[in-house]
Amino acid sequence: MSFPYTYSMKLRLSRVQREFIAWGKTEGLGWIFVFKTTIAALLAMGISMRFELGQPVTAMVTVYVIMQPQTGMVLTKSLYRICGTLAGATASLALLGLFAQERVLFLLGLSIWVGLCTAGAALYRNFKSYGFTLAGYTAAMIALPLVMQPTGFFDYSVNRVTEVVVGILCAGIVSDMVFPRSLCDSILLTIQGRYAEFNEFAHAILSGEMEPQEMDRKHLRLIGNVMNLESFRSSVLLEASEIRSHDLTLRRLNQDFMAMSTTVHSFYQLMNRLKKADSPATQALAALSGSVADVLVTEGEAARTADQAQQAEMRISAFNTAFPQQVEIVRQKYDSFPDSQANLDCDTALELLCRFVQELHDYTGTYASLMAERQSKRPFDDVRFASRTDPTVAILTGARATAVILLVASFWIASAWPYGTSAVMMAAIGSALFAPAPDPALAVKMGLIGVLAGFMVSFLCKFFVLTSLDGFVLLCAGMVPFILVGPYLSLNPKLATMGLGYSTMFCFMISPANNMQYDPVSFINFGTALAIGLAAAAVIFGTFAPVTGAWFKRRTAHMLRRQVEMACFETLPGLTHRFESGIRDILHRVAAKQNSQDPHDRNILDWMFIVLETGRAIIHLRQDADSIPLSQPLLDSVNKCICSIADLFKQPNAQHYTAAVESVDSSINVILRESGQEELDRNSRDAMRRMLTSLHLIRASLMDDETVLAATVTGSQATLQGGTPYAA
Amino acid sequence: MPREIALLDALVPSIFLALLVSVVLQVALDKVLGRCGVYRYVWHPPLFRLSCFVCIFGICGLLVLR
Repeated sequence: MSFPYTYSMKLRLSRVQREFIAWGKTEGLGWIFVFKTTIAALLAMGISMRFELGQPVTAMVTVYVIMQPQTGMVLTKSLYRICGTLAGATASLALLGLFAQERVLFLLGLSIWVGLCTAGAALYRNFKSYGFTLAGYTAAMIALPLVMQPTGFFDYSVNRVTEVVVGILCAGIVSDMVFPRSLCDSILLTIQGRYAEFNEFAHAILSGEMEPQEMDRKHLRLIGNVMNLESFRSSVLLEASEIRSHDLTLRRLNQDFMAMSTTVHSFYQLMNRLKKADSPATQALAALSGSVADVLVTEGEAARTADQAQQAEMRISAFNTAFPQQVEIVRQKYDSFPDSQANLDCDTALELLCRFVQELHDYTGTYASLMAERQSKRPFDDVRFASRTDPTVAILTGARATAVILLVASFWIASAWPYGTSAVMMAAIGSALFAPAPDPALAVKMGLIGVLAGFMVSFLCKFFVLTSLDGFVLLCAGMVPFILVGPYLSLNPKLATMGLGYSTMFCFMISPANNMQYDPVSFINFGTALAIGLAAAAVIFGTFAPVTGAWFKRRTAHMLRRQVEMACFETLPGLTHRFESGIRDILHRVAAKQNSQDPHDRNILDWMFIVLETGRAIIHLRQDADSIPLSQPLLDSVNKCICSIADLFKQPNAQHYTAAVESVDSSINVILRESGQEELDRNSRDAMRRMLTSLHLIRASLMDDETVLAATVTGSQATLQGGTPYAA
Repeated sequence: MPREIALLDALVPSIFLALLVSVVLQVALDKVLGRCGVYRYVWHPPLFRLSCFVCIFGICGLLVLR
């Protein structure tokens, strides 16, 4: 009788267990992070109070600013944070020493320093940018409270720097000791996810099932992915784990990945054009690309484990050896076309497919070697990720921060506001901290909401809860329920800055100290000043040349076009990678949003596609032209063609456009004439054929009348009005 | 050794120098242990690393302040 009862109990228990495990894998990880942050913050507060450092709040805020779910991120951020803090302290010493008596000069100097640091933060990526941010606002945090008593500088700044270091150590040790979550795992997860995602993407393209709208979104996601992996990779240096020895493999993986997605996209464009022109080659090409698509997946699944990756590598390797024969069959079938145009079309598409299979083979090899934790056999060349920032944009970002501080400072001077220092300090912190975000105006706005919420909550906590408690343990217990909210908010990428604003404001307002001050009037005055400082930053960020505005978007398109000029003239070794990574880097702001509804964003994306296609073709053309001895007329014509394309992308207008098309046409003719000669060996014949296909690809993308290039050249900015379908 | 030493005319506790020395020692030890693969046999590598550091710093500190 008892059997069914126990059985059902067991079943129920296992269900509860399963639920619990599933919760632990998703929501639970988040809660671990929340508790870790809280423990680190309270530990930092306790240590600072024990050592009587004066303002435990600095240590707490430090913990909130640097805490990240992955340990490696915290450690790297800490290193840059210490350097940034020291630089900021030195700058504030210089400012106070020079202008202690002159408030106007002092504030001017401070605003210029913060502006310079913000510009530096915009110019660099990842944690280098973070170091600049810190150097900027630490100067404000140290120098401003001392304007009235400059002689206290040394003790004050030693205490602040010590508190920052205490905060950093607490954050680092807690995140490393308590349920550590290594960056290594995140990287492997990212790579696995990306492999599956890319396979799906390439499969859809090659088998011709891709919707144009879907295409943009996917491509943006892939770019976001590239930037993510690069940022993870750059912060793995301080995490002691196996992955560090695979640094080169990771770089290689990113490089192969970018090359592959460009090739598959070029192929997609070309097939679209062929379909539109009703080319007879389309059918055979579709069949061939279908066979490539099939090799990507095993039984409809992309490889996830080491074993599957090995299998995929072997399968693709076998396919790669057999593929040239299939290509040869198709080529011979269409070689006899009377129409040389269709012939070239077919040749170009085949060349792209071959290249894609080769790149896929390389990528899967690297992926399999990483999953199996062995070193890739291939030799490494220069694979440094190139970051490209428009200097004008960086200068503007700096100018914006300077403007915020000057505005608040002049209000302070004009009104003789007793809490002006706090307002200027918060304006400096806000404009330095949020300026490098993809959308600074939005980030500051969210931060402001967080600050206001923190202001109100801290009032409740300080005057209704903490007043009836006594001792360190009860202080912690009274604060915990309120400070758990901040890290929980910051787990959600959309609310991250709100969580940061909340935590920072809460700590500032409570300002736990050995002698707590309970004064509602100064509490409200201080809090209002902080909120007004940040609100000024929000206003300026939203109005003064905002990065989401049209001007900035035009600059981005311009930067993209500059990449083509780079592809035309820079030295060849490592150029492909510099070109590809540069383009991804330019687009990181657009990719961070991942929606292409905005017509300006659409415009940028259209430019990106055409720049990628043309630039890569030019690099291949130059590489092939370098690999064999060419006759003088051919060399001249290729050089002229490259120059005219560079001109076109520098200044897209009708005149340059005609010149570019003409020079490409004449180069094609010269090559066709020369490759007909008998005395050529097989090597140079192949190289000539590849040059021909590169030129043809350039020609096809120039002639396409739906691209943004065509629209710009003819003067009809149709794509900017929005509503146009995907420009092929 | 004296309790405090003058570094650019600012008095710094001499244990600070012991800290710098032990950080260098720790980094070197970490490299060696990592190369030998010791961390694969340790239950909680970060904890092990921190404990090593505490031992090294403790020894250096006692040597300096004795």
